[in-house]
Amino acid sequence: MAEVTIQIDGREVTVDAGMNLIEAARRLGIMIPHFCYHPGLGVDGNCRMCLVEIEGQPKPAIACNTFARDLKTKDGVRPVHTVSPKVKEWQRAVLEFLFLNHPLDCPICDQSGECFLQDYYMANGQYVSRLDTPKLHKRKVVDIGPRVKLDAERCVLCGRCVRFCDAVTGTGELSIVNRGNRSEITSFPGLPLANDYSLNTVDICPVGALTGSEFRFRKRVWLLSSTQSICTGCARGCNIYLEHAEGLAYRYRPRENMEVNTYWMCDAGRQTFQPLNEERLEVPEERGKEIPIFEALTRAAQWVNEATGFTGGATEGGRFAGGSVTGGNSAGGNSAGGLSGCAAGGERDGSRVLVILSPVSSQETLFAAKRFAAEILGGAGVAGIGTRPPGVEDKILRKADPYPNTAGLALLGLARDPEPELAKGGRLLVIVEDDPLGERQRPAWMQHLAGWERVIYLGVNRNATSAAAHLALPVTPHSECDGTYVNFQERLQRFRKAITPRGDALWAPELFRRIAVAADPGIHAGRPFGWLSFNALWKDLAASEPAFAGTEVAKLGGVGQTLVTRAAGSAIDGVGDAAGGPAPREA
Amino acid sequence: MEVKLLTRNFDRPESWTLDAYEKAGGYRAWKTAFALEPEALIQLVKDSGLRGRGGAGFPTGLKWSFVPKESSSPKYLCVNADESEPGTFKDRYLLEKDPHAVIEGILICCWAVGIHHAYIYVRGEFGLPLFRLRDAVREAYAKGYLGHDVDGHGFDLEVTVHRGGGAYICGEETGLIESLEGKKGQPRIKPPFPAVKGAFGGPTVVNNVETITTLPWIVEHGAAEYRKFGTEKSPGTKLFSVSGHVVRPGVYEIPLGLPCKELVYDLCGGISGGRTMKANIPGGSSVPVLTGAEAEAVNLDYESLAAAGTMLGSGGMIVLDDETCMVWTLAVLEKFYAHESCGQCTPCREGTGWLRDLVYRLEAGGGKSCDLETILSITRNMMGTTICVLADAAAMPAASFVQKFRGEFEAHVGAGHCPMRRRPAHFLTAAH
Ligand SMILES: Cc1cc2nc3c(=O)[nH]c(=O)nc-3n(C[C@H](O)[C@H](O)[C@H](O)COP(=O)(O)O)c2cc1C
Ligand code: SF4
Ligand code: SF4
Ligand code: SF4
Ligand code: FES
Repeated sequence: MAEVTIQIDGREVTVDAGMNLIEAARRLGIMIPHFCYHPGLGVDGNCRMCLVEIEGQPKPAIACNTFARDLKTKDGVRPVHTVSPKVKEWQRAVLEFLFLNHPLDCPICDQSGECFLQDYYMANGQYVSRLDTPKLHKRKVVDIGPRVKLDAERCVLCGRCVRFCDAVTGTGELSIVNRGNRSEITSFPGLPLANDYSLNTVDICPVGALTGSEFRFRKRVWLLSSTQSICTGCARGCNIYLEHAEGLAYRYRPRENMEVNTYWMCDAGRQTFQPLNEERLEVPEERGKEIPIFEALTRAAQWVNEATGFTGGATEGGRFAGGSVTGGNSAGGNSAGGLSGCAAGGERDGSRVLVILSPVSSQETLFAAKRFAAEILGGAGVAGIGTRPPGVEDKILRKADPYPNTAGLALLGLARDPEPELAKGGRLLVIVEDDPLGERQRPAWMQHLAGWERVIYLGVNRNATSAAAHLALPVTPHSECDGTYVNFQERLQRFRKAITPRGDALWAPELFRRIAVAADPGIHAGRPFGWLSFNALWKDLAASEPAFAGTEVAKLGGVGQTLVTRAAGSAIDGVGDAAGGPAPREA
Repeated sequence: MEVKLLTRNFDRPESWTLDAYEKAGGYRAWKTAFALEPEALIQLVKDSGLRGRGGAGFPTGLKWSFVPKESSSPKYLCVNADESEPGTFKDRYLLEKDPHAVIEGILICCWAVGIHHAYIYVRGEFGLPLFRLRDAVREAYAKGYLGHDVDGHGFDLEVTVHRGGGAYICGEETGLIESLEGKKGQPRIKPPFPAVKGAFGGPTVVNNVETITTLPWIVEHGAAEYRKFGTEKSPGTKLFSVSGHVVRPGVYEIPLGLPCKELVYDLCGGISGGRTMKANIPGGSSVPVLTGAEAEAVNLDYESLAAAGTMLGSGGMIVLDDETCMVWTLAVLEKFYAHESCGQCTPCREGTGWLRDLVYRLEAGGGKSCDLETILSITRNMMGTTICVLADAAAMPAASFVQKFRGEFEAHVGAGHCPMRRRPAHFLTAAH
């Protein structure tokens, strides 16, 4: 599309001719106040909050429905003003109209702190009120749907919620009924706002008219911190903000990513934060009894060595100072690499060991587990498929695959059903974050577990599988560490640490490293467990795993990227063909 | 001086029947029009200087020429028969007394613009006008003036009579289109204009009943004949529906440019009861009010009325005598606008209700002197800031009433009640 250079508040910006002034101004960091326009819902032009002054035009223009091309005249491009005295006066007037029948119940309103009305009033209003006619009353605290409450008095009638249900979900539950200032949002009789995406209306409602029934009155929003994260509810991997306070997750909100979830996320996904707060495995447990972390790590190391027939290192926990196992990542310095008695200690035999993985794990955890199986478990079998039943897929966002990292597991070559190996039984079974014994998963595996001498479980929550394990070790969920998932588009997406790990929970790769070091003190000096940080792990991962070759995780940015090898793969192949093979025409 | 172009058949017996219309020479203009190329027909309408009679006065031929000749989606004509503006009741006469002239006008317009489907959007409250129109359409179909291969000319035209639900806002052209499409009647943002993207996504002409009904006469007699009536810039005749305190209220067809005095004092027989004219709203309730003296000095054409600070509008003239309480009158008007605002745009939705509340409070004697400034500032904030001009239509009377009859408003504040002692039996006053 053609581009136009336009001038807003004296600054120039070159944009697509079809871009509206709200978006064009955004490119300059200028925020034009607005209620009804939303990039995902288009222009409606009803709120009149976005009035701007266009030189040479006597009437105010709405920025949302004025496009860059409209500014072109035969004598040049008309400059736009968004903060001129006239514009300020227009904005003040629109705000005054909006407040005429507004209940002013900010002190008990959940939107308070993230309300457009409040923001614009503080920026542009702040006048002495002359509103002294009786206010209209409308319905309050209406259950407009199972998850959403309506306060019609706070509503500015921008119609965003209506348009969302019409345009995005196509379910059309909402409508504005009546005329004039008696207009009111309502749902059709017998058709509550119950679609699978209903909570997006709460996000896009610019005021406190729609609030989430679950979040209402739980936290003042200015007390929440917001961290970039990824929803783990399905293989889409919607980009989100994880909002938290005092170590607790309070809500997920969608974060714009035009390649993945645009502006939305599903209602079910929003509820998946509960396990971050509840039923956490905070302290290691041995057969249901809490034990100190250093003891748990030593026990794990001992079991690993016994199961792999390894005698070169520790055979009992007592041989190692607990401190070096649990306390320091850097204990490596004084355990001379030359102490390679370990190597002399003999080969490890992994034939009677099995590691079960799950696509619930981050890429880092999967990679660390794979490395652990190869190096410390003597090449033990390592596989996983995820045992949750598939969910319901729709045409909007939801994928049937209920895991965030199925593609990541496959790219490491580990996506296999472990059941045949599991059924054989053996000495040591390590289950990483999967919960096969959980509800509606693989209850039959209970018998298989009985065939294993020892079962170690690494996980975030207490669940049926952790209860069945001999040793349960707490690891951090995606709220408590940095990490990545690969979604169904093979897009590598990053989540960020938001909260300090609960209790003894450790980043799973770190947990593997510590068990490895405890099992074989010679090992930590360098590869294969040299990584002490997320970035260091990724250097190793990108170098070791062909599917991730060349990935520079530090450059992922907020919206992630399709895996370099995948995206570039075909191009490289193409070049190879042209250069190396016979030219197509001659063939 | 009355002239009878549009009203030429009004006095004929059973003028609304096809029989009477044909006897009076009806459906001849259509044949003349069809003999012309569409472009020539548009040019003829342009030459006649006909301007839209729905309120805005936009040149009709020019409006038609905005419709693209080639269009991938069907083009439509919407005849605006929603006539809901207080004081306006001219279109209903045309529909009641000469519906076949409306249909013939539709044929002419559709041939000129290349339209094969016309809708007539009729105000929901209309009874007789609707029934007569429906019958006329039925007759025209039966006689082959509508439908497939109109009158053997190889031109197809369907006409659908659509009854509205009774909302003023459905008279606004894009509100009309939304309503016609089966949606809640509320205006659309422009651009795009209906001529480019209107009903069902197709290019659409929206014309007032009176505009359409003028076409057969113009085609039959030519542009030059038409221009013999009226003024240079406001050619032709216009229907005025006069109501209020005159001896003979009713619909009058006058040449544009006629002195207002002549309409009020000669044709309408002057102010009833021998009283004097305090005020005159010349073009339907939405236009700024004139004082009696201003009205007596003005001529009734687009330019003279604009120069006097008001508008010709729809030609719905409301005459108010010296016993009328202007505060009460404004209260009634503002109640109408607050009730009829579709409610999309913030300034209109809230502003109309606010004006109504303030004016009622003033009327009931509970107002404050600062309310007058507030009213004026509300009207400034409403004008030019909304999707359609209903906001302006509500603001203009309020501003002009307060400016021109300020003393009366102040007297209400001072007295704490209506000094005119002519109160309506209204809920606000009844509450005392
Ligand atoms: C609130 C509002 C109500 C209107 N009502 C009518 C109406 O009842 N009849 C009408 O012909 N035009 C009405 N109009 C004007 C139409 O929008 C439109 O301009 C007109 O139908 C065009 O026809 P014309 O060019 O033949 O005048 C109204 C406009 C507004 C803003
Ligand atoms: S409920 Fe919220 S989103 Fe819906 S119209 Fe009202 S203010 Fe807008
Ligand atoms: S679609 Fe999937 S990833 Fe997105 S919010 Fe829903 S469950 Fe989460
Ligand atoms: S100006 Fe009033 S009537 Fe017109 S679209 Fe806006 S709210 Fe509706
Ligand atoms: S954002 Fe432009 S009118 Fe609402």
